[in-house]
Amino acid sequence: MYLKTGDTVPGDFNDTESSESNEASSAVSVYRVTEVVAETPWCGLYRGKKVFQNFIFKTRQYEETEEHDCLDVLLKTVAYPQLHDISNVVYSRNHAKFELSSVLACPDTDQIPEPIDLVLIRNTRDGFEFQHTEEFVDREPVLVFENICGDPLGTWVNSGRHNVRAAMRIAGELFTLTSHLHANGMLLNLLHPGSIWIDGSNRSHFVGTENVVSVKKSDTIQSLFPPNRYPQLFAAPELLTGTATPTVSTDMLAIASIVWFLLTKRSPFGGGHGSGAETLLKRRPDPNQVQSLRTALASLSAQARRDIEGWLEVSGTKFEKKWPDGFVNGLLACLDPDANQRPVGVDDLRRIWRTAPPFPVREVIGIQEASGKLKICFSASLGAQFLHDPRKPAPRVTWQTPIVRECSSTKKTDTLQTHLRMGKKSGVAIRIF
Amino acid sequence: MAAVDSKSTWDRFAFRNRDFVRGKIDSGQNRGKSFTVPEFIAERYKPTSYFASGGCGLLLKGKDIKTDAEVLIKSTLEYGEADYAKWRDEDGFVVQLKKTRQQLQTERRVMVWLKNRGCNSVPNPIDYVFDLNPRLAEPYSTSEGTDTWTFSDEVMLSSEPFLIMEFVHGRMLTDIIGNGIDERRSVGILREVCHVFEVLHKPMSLASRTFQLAYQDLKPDNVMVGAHDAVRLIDFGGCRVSVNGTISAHGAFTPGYCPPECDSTSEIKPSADAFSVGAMLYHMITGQNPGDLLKNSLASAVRKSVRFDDWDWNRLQQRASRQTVEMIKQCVAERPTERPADGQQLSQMLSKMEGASCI
Repeated sequence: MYLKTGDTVPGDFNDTESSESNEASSAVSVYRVTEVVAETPWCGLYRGKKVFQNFIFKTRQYEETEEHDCLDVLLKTVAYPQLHDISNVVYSRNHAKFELSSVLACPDTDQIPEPIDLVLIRNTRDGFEFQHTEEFVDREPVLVFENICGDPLGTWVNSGRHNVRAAMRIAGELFTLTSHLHANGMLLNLLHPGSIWIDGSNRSHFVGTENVVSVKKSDTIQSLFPPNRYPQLFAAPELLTGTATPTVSTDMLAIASIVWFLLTKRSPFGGGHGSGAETLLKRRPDPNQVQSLRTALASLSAQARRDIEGWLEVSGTKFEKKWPDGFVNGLLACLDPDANQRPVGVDDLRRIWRTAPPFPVREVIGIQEASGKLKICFSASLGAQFLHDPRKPAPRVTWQTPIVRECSSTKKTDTLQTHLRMGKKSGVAIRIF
Repeated sequence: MAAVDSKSTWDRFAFRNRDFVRGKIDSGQNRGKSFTVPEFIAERYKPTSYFASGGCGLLLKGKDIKTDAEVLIKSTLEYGEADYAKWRDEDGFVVQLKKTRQQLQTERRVMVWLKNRGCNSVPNPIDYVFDLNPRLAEPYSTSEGTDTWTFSDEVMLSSEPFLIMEFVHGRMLTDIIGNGIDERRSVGILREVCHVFEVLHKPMSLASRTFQLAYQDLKPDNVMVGAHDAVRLIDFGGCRVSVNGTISAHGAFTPGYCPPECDSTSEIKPSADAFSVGAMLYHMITGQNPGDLLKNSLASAVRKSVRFDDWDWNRLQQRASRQTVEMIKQCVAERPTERPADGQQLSQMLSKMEGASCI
């Protein structure tokens, strides 16, 4: 169902769901569509005006408010990629009502737009009228909610307003939102930079509410969210391959990839990895990008770091001392292609931020135990993969561990040795091919 | 408005085949006053508890049964109509209703105006509906003693307006201030308030008329603070509105936070809000309510505004940087022309301070 600019949506409460009319309010809400914001195969988002009623004392009658007295609103419609599938139509409509009453009406958060109305109108699209009965045609839900003045995240990061400090505050807000939805039994499910808008005060607002699902497993999820609905660059591999349904773990990957985008202006998986299942299950952020992010974060002032502690809700811990490695390692843990290695919620992520030790060098890729000796594995090339799980305790090794030199390239070994000479201590370098 | 989230006992009664509730306010300046509202306002909004009340306005917490969202319902607590009823003056009665009801309409217009211009820091005006007000139809005592009179204007009885707003989550700034809060945090909160003033203070030209607004009643009770110090400025019923230079709404103000000119009945400039911003910043940093400074004044019985010399500058200097102290001094200047002119100037000053390393 798509609307056009200039369409009028009558929001009379005496719609097909209303039981009776009586002496109550003679005022009838009307919505006028003023702009198409976005249309996808699954939904349409429009900007419009809510027309109020004024009581005119002179004539003792109600009158519609003039244009300048109308409230800007957003309207969302459901679209049906599977028009012939009546169960999909039912699921989509029920999901729209869930979005309104559970997501938009979710209490105790300022980051989700306020619901204004649910109106049921006639779906006049030819194909719909042809394929469905009158009862279906007449009950097309249109969600009306608070207009957010702001830019989509993708626009904001490339605007003059973007800076790392502001981005970190937004990141803090997004983690709080994620935690809040999880606590209320909901999952973000699907995120992309268009799901989040940033207002003039650099505050974030979550408008991608049509993708939120209940944490309770539902048979309808796969019908409503087939793998091709998820964005390649911001979704967990198991959702893209259709091997799993949304979980807290897939949410952690989605929110971390959005935060990565917020900070670096690029997706963590933007390196042309391809879309095959095997490739998806191996993809990790480009080490060069990781290093640039660390450098950018390390340049923040001490005051900014203290602010960030508050925004990420890790005040009073050793977070600042571990800045920026602790923070980046937490993000990397969320971006792990193995769902079992990701934090199991925002609280778990905060635990990593509070406790994760800084790595001695950035290229640590794992710990190996052989013949009673511990070996730390470092990457010796930029394309190498991270295998270390930063949630686990600090590497079980002391710098007094006997050196085992197994590197084949002297030149690269020398580079690594430079990294390893921290104080008077030495480490173990193993090159993995 | 002082908020008390109490759930008083409400009596149900029927009027013209519909259910209504009658509640009594059990605290604050309106203690003992009663109100009457439909059980489902416009068949859609269910009042659930008393939230707050002020001069003549009533705020109830409620639920939108169509969206399941929590809402705030604003209505009129009293019209001051009893005097007209006493003399059976139905025309005077209607004029009184008109005056008060139009204030609520103005409040909705101001909120719509701000929301449409990008102010996400104000509550969303979700709806504006009309319904019956049975209280107006109750018999009034007249000047003839035992005789009673009933207002019978059906159109007026059934056109009681209700402004439905987003229920703002968070804590009232009053509850956060305590003994004073961090200077940097204070500046951050007020910067968001001044972002609203930036828009509010711009003259609005509509249908060949120019509207000029001042918020006028800035105080910690009217600022809600949510997660990550997201700010919501509430209660626009206190705005002073002038149309083509003539006051159309006097609004409300609070002693201690208001500038000297608020006490006048003439037009006030946006610089009046600069005074309140200075007073608020002083309160937030020092923890000392400016209203308490009035008690020290010899002429406290009549004075509404704190004189420049009555602020405790030593106390402020112990807790704030020189830059902040200077800004507060500029804001609370007694002459309007010596203060920052409007929200835009205030925003610029606060942004500069927020970016400075000294705070």
